[in-house]
Amino acid sequence: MSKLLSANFIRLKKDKFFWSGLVFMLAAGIFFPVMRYMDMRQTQTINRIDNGFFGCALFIGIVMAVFCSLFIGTEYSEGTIRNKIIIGQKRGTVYLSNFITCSLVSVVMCMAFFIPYLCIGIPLLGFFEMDIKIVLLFAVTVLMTAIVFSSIFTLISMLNNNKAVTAVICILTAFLFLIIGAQLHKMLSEPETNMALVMTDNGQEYQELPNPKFLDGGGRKTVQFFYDFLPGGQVVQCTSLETENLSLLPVYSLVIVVLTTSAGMFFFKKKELK
Amino acid sequence: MEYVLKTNALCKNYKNFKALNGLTMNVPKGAIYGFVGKNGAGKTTLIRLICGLQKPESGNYVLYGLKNSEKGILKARRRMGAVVETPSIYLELTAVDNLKEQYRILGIPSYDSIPDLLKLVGLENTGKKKAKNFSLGMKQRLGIAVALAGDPDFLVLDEPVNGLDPQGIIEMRELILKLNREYQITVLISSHILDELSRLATHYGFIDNGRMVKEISAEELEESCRKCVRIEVTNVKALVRVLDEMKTDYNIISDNVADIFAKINISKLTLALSKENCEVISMQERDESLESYYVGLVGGKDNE
Repeated sequence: MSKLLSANFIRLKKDKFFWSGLVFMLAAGIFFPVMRYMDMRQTQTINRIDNGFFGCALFIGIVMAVFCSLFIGTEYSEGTIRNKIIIGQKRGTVYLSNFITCSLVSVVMCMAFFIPYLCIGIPLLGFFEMDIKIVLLFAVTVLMTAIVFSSIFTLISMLNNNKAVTAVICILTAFLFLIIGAQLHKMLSEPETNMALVMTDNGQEYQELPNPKFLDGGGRKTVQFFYDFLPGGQVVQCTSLETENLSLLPVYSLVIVVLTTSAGMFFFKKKELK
Repeated sequence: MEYVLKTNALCKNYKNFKALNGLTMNVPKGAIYGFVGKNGAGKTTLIRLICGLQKPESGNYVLYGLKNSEKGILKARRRMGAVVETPSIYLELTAVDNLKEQYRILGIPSYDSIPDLLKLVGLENTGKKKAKNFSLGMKQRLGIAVALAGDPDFLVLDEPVNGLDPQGIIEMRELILKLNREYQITVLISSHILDELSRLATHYGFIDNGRMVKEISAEELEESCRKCVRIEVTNVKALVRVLDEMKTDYNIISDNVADIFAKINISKLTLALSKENCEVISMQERDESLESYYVGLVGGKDNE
């Protein structure tokens, strides 16, 4: 395993997609607090560092979709995955080494956003308003979500021979998760009642009427579960800083990582390489 | 004889297509084994199986005395290197970086032997040039260098001269011969460029429709392909009597055709045959090549 990881890290040093992603995350980490500061100056409203600090969750999925599909896809398109198998490396080890590499990259990418954000954001916007424990829990959740994206995209990339198809599937999947997350958020945000203008004996009156789109009971629990469980839902919760089960989110992420990695290793062991 | 690789009734299907249909072959240690067959005969499939890229449906193979079902097969594979179809190299990396990558995968801590390896394959002057800018021949040689990184005893090359220019073919041939003669590496080469293979191979395996049609050593092949005169006569018994009297080596092909393996005096032969009331219908010098031998084995066009 250490041999394969070492080889992956050497390749990483020369990988232009890795460096492009890193520069993008660094730039975002600098740009976001500066923009918030400028906005604060213009509108004269207090803009804390809390808002937007976990904004990297919003695009880490897309960045990792591009990186994983191209980094692992290259092994298929250039046939170099064969070099590992031919010399007797176990398939499970090959899979795990690629997953670990992608996961570490996702953590590095998040750090590339967090560190400049903190360095620039604290002097400009002040320190966190939230309890530091909550901040750390949100940070862990974002990092775990990034690892979940890595595990899902590693699964797709390791089981697909075609680099271009892999890239398209990964990017579409990343967007799909975000859309699902936003949709689940919308469903859960529906108010219980709506104010409606109704005709009464006294003329027109505003009355509170039950909102048919409001979810309650089992339906709400199910939607809330998927909102917490799926990485798209976690992304929305981290960026909006509105969450009901924050401590559960990293646990759900861990479950997804274990499930996708086990399934990926199982199918990769059976996969016929060319 | 010691064998590096032995396969026993290997079968492999791709959906309804039988790529390998009970293939049995034996690669002797120290040989350059030419694996001959037309496109789709099953050459690459066999190579994929022995490289561990795919699994056989039935049958087995033994690599360095270890069956493919045994756990130790992974260790046995460390003694082999392979270039399957296209060279497996990172196009965005230089030749040195590609080798460093493979050294890491193999767990070789020192890069000291990389310059020697590059010199061996003739890529010592590529500098910072990325592999994507290499010629096809250079890419093939880099692929072989990557395969040689683990200092293998057994090298598997799938169509190594495909698409190379004449100079590239010569360089590849010299490299393979050097690896076999100077480094005692057993080489398995699949190819359908028979003329090229005939300059290299010490053993041949002819495959067709996923089956081994014939395994033969280069000496045996030379024996069966030796120069001869094919003669067609009206009375083959008379011809046999005459040739026996002349103490000439021959082989009867049919009722009126025979091959004569000697430089004969045609006037004397025709005179002698005339005395036996036998007419010569035709006579032609034959120099059977590997190609004609192969066509004879697998049936050429009729078999397509």
